[in-house]
Amino acid sequence: MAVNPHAETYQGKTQFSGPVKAGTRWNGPNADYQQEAVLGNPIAVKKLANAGYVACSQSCAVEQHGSITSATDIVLPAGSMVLSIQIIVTALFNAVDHNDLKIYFAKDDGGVLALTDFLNLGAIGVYNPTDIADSSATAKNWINISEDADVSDNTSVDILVDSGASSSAWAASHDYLLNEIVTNDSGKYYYCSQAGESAGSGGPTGSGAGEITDNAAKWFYFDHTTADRRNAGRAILTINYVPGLFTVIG
Amino acid sequence: MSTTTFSGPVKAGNIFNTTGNTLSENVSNQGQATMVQVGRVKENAGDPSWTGIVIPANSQITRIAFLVWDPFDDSGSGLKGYVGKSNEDGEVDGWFVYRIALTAVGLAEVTTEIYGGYEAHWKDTGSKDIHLTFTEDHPAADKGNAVLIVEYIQNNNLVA
Repeated sequence: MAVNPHAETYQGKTQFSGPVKAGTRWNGPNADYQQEAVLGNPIAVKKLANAGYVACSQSCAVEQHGSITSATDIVLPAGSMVLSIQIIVTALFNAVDHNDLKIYFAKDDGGVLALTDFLNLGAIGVYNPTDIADSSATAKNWINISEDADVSDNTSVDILVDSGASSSAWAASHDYLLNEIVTNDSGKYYYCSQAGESAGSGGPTGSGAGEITDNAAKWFYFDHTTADRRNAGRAILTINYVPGLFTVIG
Repeated sequence: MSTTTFSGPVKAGNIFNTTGNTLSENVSNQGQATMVQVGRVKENAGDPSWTGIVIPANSQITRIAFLVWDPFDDSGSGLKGYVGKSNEDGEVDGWFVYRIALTAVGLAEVTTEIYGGYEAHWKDTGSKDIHLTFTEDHPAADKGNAVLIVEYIQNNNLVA
């Protein structure tokens, strides 16, 4: 974590274990009136609770790299509700087909569940994704991060990201897309610098700096263990949430 | 999980009051915590419906969104949702949100779906607490389900 120049100033921070609420009336029969007809409500508004929850945030740096699913520094308490997600892109991502970043969380068995679809982060700027889900189940995971049967009701949840940099072995006579990654020549990594059909045999070899012609396709070698042109994407991921909301309101 | 409750608003910053004009020394840098309330909404025949969301007086609404997990029925006729208010001054549909589409799974953020002339309700909710209501154009469908998310700054009392 970067050094905070105000660390000394803020040593007196206040921390709470659970949700923080504020309002002039803390308790009321509000739940009894959900889905009741407005005109039939006999209780004045001033008798209902008006306390809301403080929205919390966690942020972390995200880098585009070769692994499919990477852990972040974000861990949400069990039962939290995700309110929104923000991504500030400071360096362009360049995944194939603009499948630049997808956000997941971990299940108890080591599997993952999606919080978003793949996002296109091909420009520097601020992204507030609304394309969060392709299924009702995913939407419900936002409402309660512990909703899925494979996520413990009492366990905090790790947030993971897929930065779209998956790779596969080079294939002969295959149509490659710009920025697609292959492995060839004893496990060396190459990214596609010109889309096109590969040759009938061989494929890119060597670890030089020059562009490699492969029939209609062209490639550059890169060291997938270090930051380079292929692994250029950088961003700050922020998740806004209410901790443990559904362990409180049911 | 334990809950801590204040009468509010909740503020944070290391300089509480402005006593001069030197930044980092005597100019207040406190901000207010963003508050959130959520309530389930769905298509049913009893519209308008209570949301269970009661906003304290003189608050500033900063965000309204719907997290839809069952799409609402559009029936090909552009049916929409509305967020209104109710208190002792009466009930008004569309007080905050006017004709938003809820026909897709995912987040539906309110941006321009505000009735002309009602934008000031977001700036300051008024001198009395309000209970939010939900209405939609096809109340008999009984199909759509969503969580209404309302973020606000309690008692910000904006005057500009």
